[in-house]
Amino acid sequence: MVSYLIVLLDKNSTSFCYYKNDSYLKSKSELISFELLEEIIIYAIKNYITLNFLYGNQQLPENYEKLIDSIDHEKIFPIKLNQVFTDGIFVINDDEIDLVHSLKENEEINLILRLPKDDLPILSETVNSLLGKFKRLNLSILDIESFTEQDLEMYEKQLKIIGEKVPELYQSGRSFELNFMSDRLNLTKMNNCDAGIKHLTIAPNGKLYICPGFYYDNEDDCIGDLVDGINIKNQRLLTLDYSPICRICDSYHCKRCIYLNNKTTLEINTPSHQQCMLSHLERNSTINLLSLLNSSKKNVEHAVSIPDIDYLDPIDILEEKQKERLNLYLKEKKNSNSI
Amino acid sequence: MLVNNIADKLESPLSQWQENRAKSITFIVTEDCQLRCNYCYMVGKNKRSKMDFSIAKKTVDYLINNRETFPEKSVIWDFIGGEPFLEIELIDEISDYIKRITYEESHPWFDSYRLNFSTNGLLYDNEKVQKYISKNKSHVEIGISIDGTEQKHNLQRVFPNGRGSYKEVAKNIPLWLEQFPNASTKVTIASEDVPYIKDSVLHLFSLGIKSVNINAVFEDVWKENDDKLFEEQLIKLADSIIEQKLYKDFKCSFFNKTIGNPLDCILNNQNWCGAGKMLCVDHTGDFYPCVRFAPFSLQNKIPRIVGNCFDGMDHNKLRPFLTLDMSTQSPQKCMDCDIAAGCAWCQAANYDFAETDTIYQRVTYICKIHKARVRANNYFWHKMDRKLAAFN
Repeated sequence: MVSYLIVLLDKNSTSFCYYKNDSYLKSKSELISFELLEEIIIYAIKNYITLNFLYGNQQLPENYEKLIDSIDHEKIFPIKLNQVFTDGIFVINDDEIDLVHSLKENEEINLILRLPKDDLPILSETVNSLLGKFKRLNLSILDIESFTEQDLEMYEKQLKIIGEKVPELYQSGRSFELNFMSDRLNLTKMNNCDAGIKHLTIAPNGKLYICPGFYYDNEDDCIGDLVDGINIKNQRLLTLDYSPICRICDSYHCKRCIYLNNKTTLEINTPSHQQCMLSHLERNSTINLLSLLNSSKKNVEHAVSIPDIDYLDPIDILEEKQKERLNLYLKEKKNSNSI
Repeated sequence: MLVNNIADKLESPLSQWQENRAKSITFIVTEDCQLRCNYCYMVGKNKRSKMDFSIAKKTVDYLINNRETFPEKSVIWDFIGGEPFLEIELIDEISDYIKRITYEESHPWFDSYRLNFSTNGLLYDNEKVQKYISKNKSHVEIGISIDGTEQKHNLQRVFPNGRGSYKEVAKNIPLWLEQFPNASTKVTIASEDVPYIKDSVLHLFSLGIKSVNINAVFEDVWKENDDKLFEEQLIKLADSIIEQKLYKDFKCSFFNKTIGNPLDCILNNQNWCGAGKMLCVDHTGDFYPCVRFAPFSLQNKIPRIVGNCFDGMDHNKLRPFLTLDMSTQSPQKCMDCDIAAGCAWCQAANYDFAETDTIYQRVTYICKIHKARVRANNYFWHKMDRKLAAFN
């Protein structure tokens, strides 16, 4: 059931995830119309839907802000606007890394760090410089579809460095969340993005999309609007049960990004090799973190045990099962021929 | 015991060389064909798109040099068109190169390979084709498509001017069977062919073709009452096969003991189709999961390219094919169907007719035809079991 709507206030809104919005850096805003914003708010009230407003790098006119404040909501905005808003979710884009150093400690803020692949070598340095300054950090590594084995090795190395620093903060009693490392500590089932299931996106053109990524890739790829309703063809393929790889996986913290799936494998229900590898490296980094915490006698509340596994891509298990089935078939066939 | 042997004889597929463990590599050597068969899924036939030897060579080199990606002990080199024998000289050059390079590289495929052809048979007695067959005799497998009686064959398998091709094909059948006594043919059935099924299968048996494989088309072509007529035809065919004791020497894929059960998604959830496990290359050097995903085979969708001979496989594009299973792509009515086992689908037809650009939506235009087949199949085995019980 759709429980929240992401509202792109500006065609040039910041991305807050894997997708790219090349128009973000444009200096001029292309704002959603005031009338549409009013319609969205009425729709949300009537349908008991929460709104997440996504900002561009320009401030909104005062009447827009007043309208937004008339309903419970969440704001997601680029870190450049951190002087304007005191709470909400701050997005740090790749060209804004330098701004993180000026960020003041605030246990209430949530950060989204969008780091391009080329910046992988400074991942641990960047994250560690932020540790202790926020409540939650969501990391989105960009260009993961082009990750090579060397990039994956680099990522694993960076996770290890971050993992070594984290127990110190736990020792000091700080409570904080890292989507790629601490989320899995408490998860017993999949906790994915669920675009198209739990949330939809509405763009300044008034059309609904599965997520902003689909809008920015192709404006015609819409799934309806507020008046005529929603029609997602083959919607079942968005769900876990209809993803042969994901439904056997226990990297429960994985975003399972269907936009990236579609881009890399041409199927919304099939993750790329790189996506699976990254999620499993993260999963294993959680095991390492848990081990470090246990050895420093720091118990994490509600932490679950995570089994050791000998694969980083669940497709290996599926292929193994297929081989077993083929062997069984050949064996049965041989037996029946010998009757 | 006798029933089992007969069932095996009737059911066993055409060619299971290396028991599904061989890699199948398909070269689309040309998109041209002398015929314009009405039911053909290759909707974009043309004279322009012909493979150049350099593309074939590049493909073979890539396959041979990437043993990790292609670890199969054996290979089936499949040449397809259009009509492949239009390019027999190219095929000969490719075959020679394959033999030479696998020998030079001490590759396991050097002495474990087949050269497969699906042909319309028109050029079968051509001197160059015959020379090729003679040169590669122990490795060649050839299937000639002949649809049955002259009337049935000419209903579909026609030249561009509409003239039927039966006589030109039939004249080559004796030579084909002399060279390949165990050869089989593949018959395709569309709506208008239904009244001729029984006579066509019996006719093919009478020509000496021992194995007849029949596929009903997956497209949305079936009309009301086709299923009833289809069942009637199969019942008549069943009676003829049993009464004339044709089951002793001939095979017809319609009758199969394993079909008509409910689906078992726990123990038997695999995909029906081998798309993705095979590899197909066209004249551009692009790779496809099978020939039906190539541009000239698709009516509504863009081709699904899974790599090319220059850059190699795009493994991410292949993942959806490798993870496809029955339950994920089938609609609920198939999951609930009591007689679903054996109901076929074509991955590319699914893709071409799906509401979105997915291979995970199974089309079921064939539903009523499958059900009719199951009823006739039940009739056949009931009668067969009784007959053999009386015999024993």
